[in-house]
Amino acid sequence: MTGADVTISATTDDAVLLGALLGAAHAAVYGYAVLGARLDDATRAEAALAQDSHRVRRDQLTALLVALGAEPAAPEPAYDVAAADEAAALGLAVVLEQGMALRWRDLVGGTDDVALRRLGVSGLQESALRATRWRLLAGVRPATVAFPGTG
Amino acid sequence: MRPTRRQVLGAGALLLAAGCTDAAPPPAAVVDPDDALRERAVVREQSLLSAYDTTLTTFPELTERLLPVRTQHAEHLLALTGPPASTPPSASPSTSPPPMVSAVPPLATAALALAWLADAERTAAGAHAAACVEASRTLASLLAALAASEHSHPAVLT
Repeated sequence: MTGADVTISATTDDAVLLGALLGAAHAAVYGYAVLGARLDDATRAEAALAQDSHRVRRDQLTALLVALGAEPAAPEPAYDVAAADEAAALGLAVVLEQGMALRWRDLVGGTDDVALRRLGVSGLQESALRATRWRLLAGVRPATVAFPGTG
Repeated sequence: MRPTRRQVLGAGALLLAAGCTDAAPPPAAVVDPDDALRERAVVREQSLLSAYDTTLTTFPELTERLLPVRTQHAEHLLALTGPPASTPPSASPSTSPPPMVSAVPPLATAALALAWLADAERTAAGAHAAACVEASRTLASLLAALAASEHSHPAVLT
């Protein structure tokens, strides 16, 4: 990695962390397509918004990795996700957000780059809020957690 | 430009190594930049806890909704301070930062109280997130979790 021509002072470790995030974002984009089919119209619209948001993050992470001279991983052909009914679909949505949250928090705690720290915190906040919304819809209480991004 | 954490720590190591020479200032002058960040985060959590306590006293019917959130703030405070018995004394005399939320909330109705709490949560979320950038990696990771938790709390309040 050369990194001399990028605007952020990122390192090889940062590229590994961003790569893990990209993998989770690919899984989330795929997973939301699977679970959306099990939701009613209003809830499916919310799932579609969430999927869009993960697409944006996916593209952002891909661009960052390219800028770092790293090879952004392509999505897997399929992911081991399933949702037999609405309850399972909402549960899967929570799991997808938790998967992203874990890696956003890893980024925050694993980088000294200010821009990446900011990106990590905002991503973590976004995923924590979405997980809370899905828990509310699933009737899971409490719908919030004290430490989002904890394994 | 302020010295980075690493520069400060590095300077501390040099001072310690040179501790016996006449010219070296006392090593005690080295302050961990995390201390002030952690202290301000503690004030934010204490302020939120007090806001929840005030609301719960006035509107006990909100207990089921608010108590889990209040518990999470207590967990945040504990994560910042450590167990009470092992809390080290503050290294420097602390000036009390202004409280994050007003002392007299608009408690006319439960709905107003909830909106007031949601505002306080958003303010704290933003402050935790901002502090994240200046902190060490370990403290940044904790502050990020707190920022995310606070960011999600308004969803269960309004």
